This record gives sequence, C-alpha cells and structure tokens, in this order.
Amino acid sequence: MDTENKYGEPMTVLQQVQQRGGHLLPQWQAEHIDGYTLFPQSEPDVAGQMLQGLEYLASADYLDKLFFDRLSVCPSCGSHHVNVREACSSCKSSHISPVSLLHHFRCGYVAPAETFVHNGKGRICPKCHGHLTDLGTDHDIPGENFTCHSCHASFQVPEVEGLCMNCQTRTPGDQLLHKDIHSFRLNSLGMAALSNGRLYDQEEELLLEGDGHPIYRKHVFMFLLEDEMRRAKRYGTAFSLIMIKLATADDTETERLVFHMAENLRNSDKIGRYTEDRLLLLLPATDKAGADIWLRRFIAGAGAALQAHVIDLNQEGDVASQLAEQSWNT
Amino acid sequence: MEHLNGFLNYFLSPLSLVSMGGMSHMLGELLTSANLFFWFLVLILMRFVLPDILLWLVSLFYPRALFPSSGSGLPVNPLVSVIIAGRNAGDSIEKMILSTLQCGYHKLEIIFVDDHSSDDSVARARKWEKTGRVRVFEAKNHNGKPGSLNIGLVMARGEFIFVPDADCEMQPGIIQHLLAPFSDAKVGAVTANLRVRNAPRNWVTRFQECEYAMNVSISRMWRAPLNLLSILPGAGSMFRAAAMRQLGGYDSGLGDDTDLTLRLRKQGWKLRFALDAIVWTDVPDRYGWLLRQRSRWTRNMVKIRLHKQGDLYHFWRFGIVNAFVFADILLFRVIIPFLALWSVLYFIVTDPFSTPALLTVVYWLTTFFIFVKLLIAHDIAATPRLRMLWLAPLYPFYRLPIHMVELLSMLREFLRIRLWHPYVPKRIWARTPHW
Repeated sequence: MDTENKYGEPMTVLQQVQQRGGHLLPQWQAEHIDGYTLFPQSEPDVAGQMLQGLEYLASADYLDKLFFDRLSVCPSCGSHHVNVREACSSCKSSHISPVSLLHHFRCGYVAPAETFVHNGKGRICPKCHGHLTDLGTDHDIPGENFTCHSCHASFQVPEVEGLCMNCQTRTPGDQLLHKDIHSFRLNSLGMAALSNGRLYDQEEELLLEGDGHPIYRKHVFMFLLEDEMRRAKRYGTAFSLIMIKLATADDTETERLVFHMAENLRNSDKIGRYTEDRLLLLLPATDKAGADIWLRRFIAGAGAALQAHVIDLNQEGDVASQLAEQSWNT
Repeated sequence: MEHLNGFLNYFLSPLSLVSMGGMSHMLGELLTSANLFFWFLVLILMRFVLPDILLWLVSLFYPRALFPSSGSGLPVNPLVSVIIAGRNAGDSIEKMILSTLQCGYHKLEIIFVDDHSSDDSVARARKWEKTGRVRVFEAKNHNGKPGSLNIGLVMARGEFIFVPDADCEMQPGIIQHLLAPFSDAKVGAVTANLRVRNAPRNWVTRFQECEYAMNVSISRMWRAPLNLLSILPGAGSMFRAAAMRQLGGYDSGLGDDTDLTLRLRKQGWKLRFALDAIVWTDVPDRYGWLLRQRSRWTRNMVKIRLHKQGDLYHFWRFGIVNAFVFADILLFRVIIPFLALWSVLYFIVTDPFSTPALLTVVYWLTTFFIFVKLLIAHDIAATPRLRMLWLAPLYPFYRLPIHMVELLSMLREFLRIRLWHPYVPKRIWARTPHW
C-alpha cells in the first residue's frame, strides 16, 4: 500500500474509522463541553485534529456524515450544561406547578379542582353545593393552568428558559443555540481509498468508468449541476434532472445499469452518485417533456426493478435541500 | 299635494300660538281635575325628564355633589386585573389590549380568556404575552361569557377587577377614574361611561349615540348617588375582587351583568358611576341588528330582574332602596309600556277622531322633552354633539319599533316561548335553571 498521500492525516483517520467497525459513533462524556466525543481516549487537541480530518473526508465523500443527536447549548459559553426549564411568565421563577380547573355548568363556578371537595359520590360545588358527577355533562375541565408560587400569577403557557450551569447565563428557550452531533460512516469511496492506500486527488474525479460515461462523485456532480443552473438562468436554456433509485447498491448492478444508460445518453449528459442507492442524471438542453420520454424508454429497457422520477428544481432555491425533499418521492 | 299640506297643517297645529293658548287653558283644567290619564302622563314625563332637569340644576349650583373628591380609603396604585372574555375577536383584541396597556395605569395585568374561537384570536393575543403583563387562556370548549369571565377571575391577582368587552377601547385615565369611588369601602363596583365609537357611521348609530347619552351617561349620573343603579354593563365595569369572589363570580346563562349587579345590591354593596371613565364601544349599525340586540336585552331584563332576582322587592331582607329599584323596573319597564299600548288601542277604539290629535300632542311633548334631555346631556357629559339635536323630532319614530319589539319580547318571556338563546352553549343551557 502506498501510504503517501498529500492529505496525510485523513488516511489515518480513515483507518481509524475502519478499525472502529466502519462507523464512528459519538460517545457520551458529560464533562466534555460538547457532551459527546468521538475519540474518548485522545487528548483534546488530537481529537480536534482528527475531527477536522473527519469533516474533510465527509465533505470529499469518503465518509457519510450522519445525524446522531442535537444539543442545546449556551449562546454565551457554548456549554451543553444547560438546564432547560419552565418558568413563570410574570416573574420568571421556576417555582410553578400545574393546576387543573373545573367549571360547574349549573352555576358557572370555576375554580381549581381541589376546591371541589369529593364526598365519595362526586364532587361538591363550593358555590351552589350542587353535585358534579359526570365530566362533560354537568362539569368540564376548561383547560390546564399553571400557578407560580412566587408571585401567584396564573398562566396557561409557561415560558421556557435555559439556565447554563457553566456560566449561569439565562437564555429564553427560543434563543438557545443548537448543535448537531454527527457520526461518520465509511462508504464505498472510502473503502476504495483504503484499498488503494490513498485518497483520490483532484484530477481523479471518477468513481468508475462506464463506456465513456463516468459516474461523478457527489460533490463534483453538485458543482456541475449548479453550473448548469446558472447557465440556464442566464441564457434561458432548459435542463432536466432525473433521480434513479437502484434496487440494490451492488456495484456490478450499477455498472450494468450505467452501460445501459450510456446507450441512451448524449456525450453532454452527466451521471452522478447521490447516495449509495441513488443516481442523478443531468440532461442539458432537455425540457421536462423530453426528460419524461427518455425516462419511460430507459425504464422499459432497463429490465431491472428500479424507481425513477424527474426532479422539479426551483432555480432560486437551495439545490441540496430541494434534492433532499424530493429524494423521498422515489 | 293638497293632502300633504293638510296633513302638515294638522301635524304642526299644536305648535301654533292659538293651540298653545288653548293648551295652557286645557292644562289648567286638567291640573284641577282627577283625570287619570292626564296624571298618568304626568307621572311618566316626570320620571323621564325631571331627574335630568334636577341633575342639571345641581351641576349648575352645586357641582361638587356630582364629582366628589376621592377619599383616603384606597391603597396607592392597587393592582388591577383586566379580564377580557372574547370569542372570534381576532379583529379587535389587539387594539383592545393595546389601548389597555396605554391607558396610563401601569400596575395592571390583562387576562384574555378565549372562548374557543375559530379565528386567530389566541395567536394575536399571545403576541402580547412577551410584555409580561398579558396572559392568555385558551379554553378547550365553548363555555359562554360567564364561564370565560369566571376563568379570568380565577387567574386574576388584582384587588380590583375591570371587565370590558373584547371589541372596546379604553380612554387614557379610565382606571384612575374608576378607582376613585372605591375609596368608600362600601362601594362594591363602579361602572364606566359607555360612548359610541362608530356614531358617525349612519343614522342608526347616531340615534344610539343620543340614546346612550341620555340613558347611560346622564341617567346613571343621577341614579348612582341615590344608589339606584340596577345594571353594571359587561362592556365596562370595575368590581372589588373580594365582592366578586364572595358571590362566586358570574352565574351561567343570559344577563350575567344584570344578575351580578343585583346580587351585589342584595349583599349591600354600593354601586357607583364614573362619568370620566370612558369606554368606546361599537353599536349595531343596522336597524335589524339593533332590534335583535334590544330584544335580547329585554328578555334578559325579564329573566333576571323579574324572575331570577324577583325577590329584590323583599324590603325586609334587602332594604327599602332595593325594593324601590324593583318597583321602578316593574312599573316603568313593564307595566307602563303595556299600559301605553293599551291606552292607544283604547282611544283608537273608543274615540277614533280625537286619537290622532292626542297622539300629535304627545308626540310634540315628547320631542320637546327629548330636546331638553339632549341639551342637558351635552352640557354635563359633552355628548352627543350639538349637531345631533336635529334628530330630536325623529327620535320617537326611531324608538317606536324598538318599543314594539321590546313588548313582544316581554310577552315571549312571560309566556316562556323559546327561552334558549345562542349566546348560551347548549350543553350549559341543559344544566342551568331556565329563568
């Protein structure tokens, strides 16, 4: 194996991931400022460098960056040691408790449930001394309420605030920062890089060869897509984007499909890898009607169980999020 | 055209000098006679005009009696809870909350109880919770106004409770003016001065501006010092919280404001009126809606004042003043209107040729006294505007259909026909006594 590569540290990180079973999961560590750490045995600065390496590898599509958890953090010091609690809307005290109200229909009296004394057969109304026996018929619960034991205010919706146990800063709940924690999983490109002993450099953008139609890596394909969108917006030209979901993530099957695709593509059309089981096909100078026709012919001739549809892209919106939304349709 | 001229001559004839001379001669004869109908008319006119004239004279020669200075019995800046109950009040609630926050009294809390609205009332009101002075309760079911106000009463911390409608606006300084009479520890409630916000809209609202000036502003001004107030409107009244809680808040059903007023009277609380505590409210701008409103008010009057609180006349239990209040209601709101109708029918049947002349004289007398009342109202309470005085000759025609509707509504209540009203949720109506 050629251990030399211009990224150095990333290959080490990649090997670390492989050694940890191919999926690096965060581990809970309360004293850590983030609450989680990916490298519990490492020094903080070393862990920080390795995390940088992981981020780079994920951006370069060698690793899949997966959502693991979300933390609320203090906007003042960044600590995750935030005590999120309900507080009085009037005096901000946390000394509050819920109170259930009862409304007696006959006399209109409303009061906390405990004031309607139970005598075994039902509750007694302190106002008219009538009996409350059937909820919904002679009385009901108008709603939950809270009462503050500090200022005696009554309110229905308590305020949510975070008290940082690290720096004692109080922050309204809607102003707390949120930090996402991710896990990192080795994907096929990462495996291929480990097998080759090196990362693929900038010039090698290809995943695999397919009879003149390469499959571009995701971040390269996204770049090509955004470039096409800019061109379409400037010159008013049409383009289409098709998402194809593979029945299996098997490379052999993918290769067969790409060969079949190549028979129906022009040399300006581009194929990209979106996820392990999804491909994207960019058709410049093709409107939606033309894309639909192409897709029907391709599916009819594919001879494989696959799903595909034309992506409806808004040129003004964020491409990545639009793709993420519409990928579930397939 | 000849017929029109003839009618106009006939109609205006009572105003001619000859007629006036004849009338003064007739008046002299009647004053020395035992003509019951004449004395009946005198009683009515005295009841409806004389108090206003006396009030004006007092304001002229002894104004301090009408505007007493506040005593020392009131704590400085007590907490006031403003309870607003509303349903589908999305269009008006923000304006109401804002006017309350800007009324110039800072030690208050606003509690908006939403009665299961289908619009965005709750969302609009909750925006104001960030001020720290507004709290919103969203009821899970439709409870009606009394139930909603009682929910607000549970949540209120104030020593005094102010209850306006969700579609009103408050004049700056209102809270201070309402608090002043509470320096007397025996005062249990104070009513604000309701003014018509949409008066310029059309002739229906202009008439109501005149009506409110006479029957709200001036009428309550002389009733309050004599402890004769029989209603504290739900659109703007302040209560001593202890007094309200002692009574268990509002009762279910219609006429909740009238009912609470009479229950306060029975407990011996004094009721006062604050002329300078102004609440602006919209009135019906279509005559049909106005008639429906007056029908509902009349039905409430019978249900509450005559049926539910009909024992108010028990002077041995509730005092002579309360008995007088009951007698006043019975006589001038029930007996006299029916007698008046009966009289007109009687004269039409027995003396059809004199009846038009009699009615014409009554019309002109009524118009004259309306004119006097409006002038008095303008002088003391600065309402209505002087340009509204031209409505005085038309006022009897405005009131006539309302009187008819009120009589029919009373009959309906006495005969107990269709007692339920949509204001009361059916599940609650099924469990309340049907007055």
